[in-house]
Amino acid sequence: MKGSDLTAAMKYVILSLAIIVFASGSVAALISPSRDNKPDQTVDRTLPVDANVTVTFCASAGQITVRSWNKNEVRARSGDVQQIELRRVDPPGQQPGAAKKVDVYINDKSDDRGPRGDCQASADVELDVPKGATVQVQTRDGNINIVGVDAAYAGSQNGDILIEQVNQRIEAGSIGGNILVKDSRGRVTLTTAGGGIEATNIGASEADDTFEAVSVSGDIQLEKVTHSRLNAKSVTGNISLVGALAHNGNYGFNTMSGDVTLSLPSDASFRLVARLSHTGEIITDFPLTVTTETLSPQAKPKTAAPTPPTPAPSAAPSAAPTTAPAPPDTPKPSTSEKTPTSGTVTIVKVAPAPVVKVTPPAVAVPYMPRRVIGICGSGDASINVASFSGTVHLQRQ
Amino acid sequence: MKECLGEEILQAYFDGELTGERMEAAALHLAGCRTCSASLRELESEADLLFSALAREFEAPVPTERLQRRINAAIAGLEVVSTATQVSTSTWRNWLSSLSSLLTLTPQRAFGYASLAVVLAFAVIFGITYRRSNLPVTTPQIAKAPVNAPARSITQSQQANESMPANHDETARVQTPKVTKVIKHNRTNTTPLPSNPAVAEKQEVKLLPGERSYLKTIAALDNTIKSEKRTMRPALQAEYERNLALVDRAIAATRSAAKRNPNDPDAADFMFAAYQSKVDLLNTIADARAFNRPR
Repeated sequence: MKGSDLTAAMKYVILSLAIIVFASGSVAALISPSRDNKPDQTVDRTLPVDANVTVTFCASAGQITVRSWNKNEVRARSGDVQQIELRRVDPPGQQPGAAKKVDVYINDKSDDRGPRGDCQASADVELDVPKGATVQVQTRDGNINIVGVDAAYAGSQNGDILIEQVNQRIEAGSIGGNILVKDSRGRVTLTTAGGGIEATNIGASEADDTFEAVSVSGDIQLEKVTHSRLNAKSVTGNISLVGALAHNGNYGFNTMSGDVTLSLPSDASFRLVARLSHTGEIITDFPLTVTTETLSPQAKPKTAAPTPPTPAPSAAPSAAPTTAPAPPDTPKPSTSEKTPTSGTVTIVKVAPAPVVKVTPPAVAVPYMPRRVIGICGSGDASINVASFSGTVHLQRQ
Repeated sequence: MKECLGEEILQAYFDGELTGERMEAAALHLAGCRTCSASLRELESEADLLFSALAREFEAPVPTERLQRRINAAIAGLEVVSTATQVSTSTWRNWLSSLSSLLTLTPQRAFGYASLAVVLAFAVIFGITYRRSNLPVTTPQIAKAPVNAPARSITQSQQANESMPANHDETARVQTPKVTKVIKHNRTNTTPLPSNPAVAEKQEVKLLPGERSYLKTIAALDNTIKSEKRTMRPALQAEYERNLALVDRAIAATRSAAKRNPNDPDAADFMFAAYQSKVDLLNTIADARAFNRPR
């Protein structure tokens, strides 16, 4: 065989191999259920339900959006899933009719095993539910938005949670994510570890509704929260409340090292019971009649409390009876000046700040008193503050 | 006529050690000199006589058997002196030589060694795992122990810990074997408290009412979290540890205050609030881990 014939034969062989490889790849691509060949396909499922249906959904990651609409139907949509199943869950003995509980199952495009409720799928999912629905959604890394339902239960480990216009019940929990609740009513429970909590324009739908916000290190910011029973607790986070107090309201604020700041209307009427320790102090703009109790380590509180009021010792200047606020630049008493007196109860009258002052004067009550009881106005609302080493600010709005 | 050859030259001529020219000159001289020829014949006869006399020695292998026996006898004499030491060294040598033979790798032997190494590795891993899994058991022992003894021992351990920077693993500190040792020591220690007031005051501090239940709950939750075999996701782990450290710091601070003010209910409330924060956090993390578990 000549060299030129050999070269030609080699060319044919290589060309044939290339054609075979290309053809095989093309056939495989056509036959296999490729996940990328239909990237824009949105899966949409709808199911007729009861107006007060309970809808549950959980996922590993992805944005979960829940909206209400004026239909007694549940619709689930996603462009990231292979399938969606709206599984009706009828309790035993339930009469036939519209579904009262629906579980939303999905399987994302990396899973060929069909829709499941194991919370391992990762997809952005939108749910439309009736206005009277109760929604329970949970994800690991995604954000959650819920708007306009009757009750919302939401949990995310790292994602943020936004809840708006809920009418009856809100319960949201996160570990690292933030929780934002707006324009809602009902009983509210918000918990987070490292994330912050913000609640704006929240009220009770029933008289015994409570508002509770708990964090470890995240800040808690409450604005226009009108529940008559409100509790906010944090370890190192700051707590702030802006807005009017409910008449006969009961407020509790508890921090370890975070500050508590209450921005109240000028006509606020409340009774303050503050438990402080170490460097904790109260800085107030409000005229307070303050009763301080100083407990020595040996003194028992029940025996110290009935002790008749006596003038404060001169060694503690800001604790001494006064009818005028201390100058703004008055240095706070040093630690050496705060030696507690066993079993002493002191009444301190703090006058309101003069309006002419540019810088709002503040009266610093040293940490020496362990318990400070102050009354502003007629003392309608009850405010209980416990801060181990934080500062309590009472500010005028 | 030339002078006769000297005895040395004759001997060299007889031994064939003369160079070519001197050998020729000596041969010419011997051919014409009867005296030197006679001397050469005498050398030859003496040499023949010597060879015939030593013929047996020369034919025997070198060294001769007798010489061999003498050498052996001499060596044997030396061996008798050092027999005692050589017995042990020879034993070690034999043992070492047997070991060296073990180090000679053959495919079968290499496979055997690899199998042995795998078995040993598994044994070590199992031992460590078993030891770790046994550690948390100490906490229930603390909780179930009699009120006075463990209360004091836990307090003492925590007093020691309070001087250290608080870390996130306070529960683990409570669970350390050292605590168990202290408990045993206190159970058997019936000696009166030391007369030193400072030491006595330190030892009189006990767990506050209710604190024990918090410790038990925290230990149980901690065990639940640690029993999860799957590792925590990094984001969750980081958030958990950061917040747990903050809570532990708060517990340490409030507990210290509560100890200094044993009759102050507010101080105790601060401490319990810090404990409750830790319980809440651990509950949250336990729930999160359960959620992350594949179903």
